[in-house]
Amino acid sequence: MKMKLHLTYIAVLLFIFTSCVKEVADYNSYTIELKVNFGEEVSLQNRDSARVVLNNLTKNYTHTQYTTAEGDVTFKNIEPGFYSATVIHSFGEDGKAYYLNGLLLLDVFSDIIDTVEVVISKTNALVVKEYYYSGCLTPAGKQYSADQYVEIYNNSGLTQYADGISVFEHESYSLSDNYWEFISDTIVGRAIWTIPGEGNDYPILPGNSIVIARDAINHQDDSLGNPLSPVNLEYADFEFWVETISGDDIDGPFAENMIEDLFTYRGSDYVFHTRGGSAIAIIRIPGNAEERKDFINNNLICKPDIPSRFYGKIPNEYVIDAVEVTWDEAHAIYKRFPIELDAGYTYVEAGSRSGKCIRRKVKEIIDGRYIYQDTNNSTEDFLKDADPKPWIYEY
Amino acid sequence: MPIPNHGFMSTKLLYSALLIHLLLATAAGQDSTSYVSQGSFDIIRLLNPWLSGSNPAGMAFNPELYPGEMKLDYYSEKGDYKQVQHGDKLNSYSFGTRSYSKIGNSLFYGCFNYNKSFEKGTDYTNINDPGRETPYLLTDSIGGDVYDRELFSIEGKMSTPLGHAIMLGLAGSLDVGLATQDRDPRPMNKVLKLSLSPGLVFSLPSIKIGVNLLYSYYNEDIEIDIIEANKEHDFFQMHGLGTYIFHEARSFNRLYKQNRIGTEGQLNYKHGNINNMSAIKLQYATETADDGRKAGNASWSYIKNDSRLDINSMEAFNTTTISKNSFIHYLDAGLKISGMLGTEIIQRLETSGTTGATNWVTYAEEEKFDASRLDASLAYSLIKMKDLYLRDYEVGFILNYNSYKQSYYIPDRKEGYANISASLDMGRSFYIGRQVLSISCGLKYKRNISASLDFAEDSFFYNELLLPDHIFTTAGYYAPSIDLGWETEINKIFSKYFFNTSIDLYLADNDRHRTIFSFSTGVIF
Repeated sequence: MKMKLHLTYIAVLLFIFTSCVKEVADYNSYTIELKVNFGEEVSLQNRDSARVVLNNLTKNYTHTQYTTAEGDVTFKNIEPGFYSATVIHSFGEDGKAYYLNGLLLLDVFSDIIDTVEVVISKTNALVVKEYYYSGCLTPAGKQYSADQYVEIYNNSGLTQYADGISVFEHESYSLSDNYWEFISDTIVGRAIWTIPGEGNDYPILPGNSIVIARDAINHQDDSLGNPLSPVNLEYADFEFWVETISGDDIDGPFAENMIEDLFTYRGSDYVFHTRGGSAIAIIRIPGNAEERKDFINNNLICKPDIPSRFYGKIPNEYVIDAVEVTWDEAHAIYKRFPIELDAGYTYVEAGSRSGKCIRRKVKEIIDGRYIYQDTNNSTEDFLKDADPKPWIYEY
Repeated sequence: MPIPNHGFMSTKLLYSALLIHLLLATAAGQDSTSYVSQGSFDIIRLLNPWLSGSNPAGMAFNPELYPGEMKLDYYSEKGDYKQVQHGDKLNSYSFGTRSYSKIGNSLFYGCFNYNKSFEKGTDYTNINDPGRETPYLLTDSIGGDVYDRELFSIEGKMSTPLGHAIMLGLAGSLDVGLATQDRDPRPMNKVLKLSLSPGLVFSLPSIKIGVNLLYSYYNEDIEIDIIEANKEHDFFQMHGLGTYIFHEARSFNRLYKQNRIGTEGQLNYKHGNINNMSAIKLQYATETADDGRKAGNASWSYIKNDSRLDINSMEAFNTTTISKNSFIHYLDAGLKISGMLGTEIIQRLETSGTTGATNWVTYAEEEKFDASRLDASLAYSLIKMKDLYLRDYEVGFILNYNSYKQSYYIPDRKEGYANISASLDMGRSFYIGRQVLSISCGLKYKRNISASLDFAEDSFFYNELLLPDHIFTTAGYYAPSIDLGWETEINKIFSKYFFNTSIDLYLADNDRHRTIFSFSTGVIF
């Protein structure tokens, strides 16, 4: 009897201690109910089964659901965190293709009921076909980025003119929240470089492209180049050339120099952020060169802590094509372009100095002319680790 | 180019420790040298069950034996029966010295150890001890690394009477170390552990009651560099059961800080030839992992709080020693239960609109991981003494049960297993004139009794880390071992010279094996 009591006592003690020591996680999970607002332009029969991708921006995984005919979608058992909800949808009507994009950034720390607005993308005549910013390594293992370039492609069936088209670089490097989010319908940039011309000087034929190089040289052969560079840009159409007394920037002999309209952090050379900080757009500011310059000068803005540093404000309506390039998935949280300009984001997954670029996907080939995909969503439209191939059109 | 291992603090620490140690040993005199042997430290532990607990005041009940030892050790492990992040091969060299001393009514114990080791073939780890129980490991995707480690340890204990029936004790230890890898990415881990424990024992005629407090601080500061120009690597901040956040960077910094507090109560009953001791220890620890990166090529250069781990543990044991004629029966039952709760800290880098200052802002702290471990053991030994403090022969066995469960929530992942193990050891000492030859051998056996790994995804870390480690922890084995020791009296400053060597061979039932070899040589005084 005494032994039995002893054992019971030990068992009770063990139970109490075990209960005290054992820890059970009291975790949270939430439900996200989203309604996709298609607007009045999209008929009821075209609203069914729109794809909605919920992406955990910190941990880099996604959940995918499809909307009901009413445009509703529900994600259950979602862990707390920072997410993006992307709507990707397309349909054909009256022989035309329509692309719908929507993006909503969500801080999920409670159940959420929200609406995702979608925009019907307009198909641009001029699009960014390739953007090579990552740079590469020299045989000595040193960083080389002078071979960066942007390629603009005429995706339409009509001749387009490059005259007055500007390359715009967003002010933010996507390291924290976009400071300029409070200014609606406007993007703010740190650099604007414009193609010269009076309006008809630089035609781009249908299915052709122009290349704007950082340094228009044969990077693979030139003594100032890098034999491991993936590109020869000697015959680039245009060049970002910074005129300085020191003459540090290489001035390629065959390329036209771009007009430096705004260069906030002016140095001896113009460089895109090699890790993906430079989100770019191609824009067209109305008017001639003088009017464009006046517009930029009259729309400068600065941050209160550095009143002497000016950035350029550009209305969204001047944007022809925007590419939200970022560092990686985790930095997509700091998106800069609004969804009507770019509903997604992209980046070179292989990283800085990888010699890789982002390239727009080919949608189809019509009469030998490549048509590149342009749904206004970089996540969908671009290949992430493509080999740079300027002026070459292929799948 | 390998990162130079400067052996920081080495000279000062070595001289200080040796000086303290030799002063204590000299002050105490050597009254009992004829009794000291290689097994003296074990005999003291056997005859004073207080040394099985953590109360330093209990050292007062040691037998009148004050051995000292100074030795060089070589230790090696080799084989593929191992956890993934441990090396295929380990070579370890150490110098150590320890002794008990009595000055007046006070008893002292001092220990110093210097260890240099090379662990080859470690995979994916950037932390000094991947076996340290935390889900918040820092890994990369590179295998075949070599960890070069240097560790200094100092430990001191004292026990002194406060009046007739009260003993006061104080224990402290300090471990400092540096570990480096010589292949990109190259972590440099600075490790520090400090422990303090004051204690009291109240001595009544046949019962002694003790209590002591425990405090320890652990700090591991990791700085990872990539020497190859313009090269970046992926770093994975693991969150348990294969979940992670990853970043590609040219450098990475992490700081682990752990504070542990606890208390232990002891009850000792001694009557005639029976000496029984029970103790229970409760501890709580909290450990944080913070990430900070250098500026320059880093994604950010501010400190980000990654996670917090809370650990509770309860340990209890009961030992009984029965001395009859020249035989000692030793019976020990032990139980340890521990629980871990892991919290992820969700932060976002934000810039204040008014000041322009950029900081990681905490949005939530989420409990996402829990784990529990249970270890129970029962041991019995029969020791035949040749003399008061010299062993003749010994036979012993140990039974052990351990179970472990861990869970991660959203996505839900679970792992659990339970193992039993048994070991049988026997040894004998042969006294041949002024020399003693000791031989012992043993056999360990482990068997898994339950195992589950509930994991839906087929990922890199599942295939390369979780699954192989699960197979390792649930694999059964046989492990025969043999130990050979020799000692001889030397009539100099030191009493005896000795060497000892042992081999353990682990033969696992997944066709893997591991050989552990050790060799020690030194003097006893």
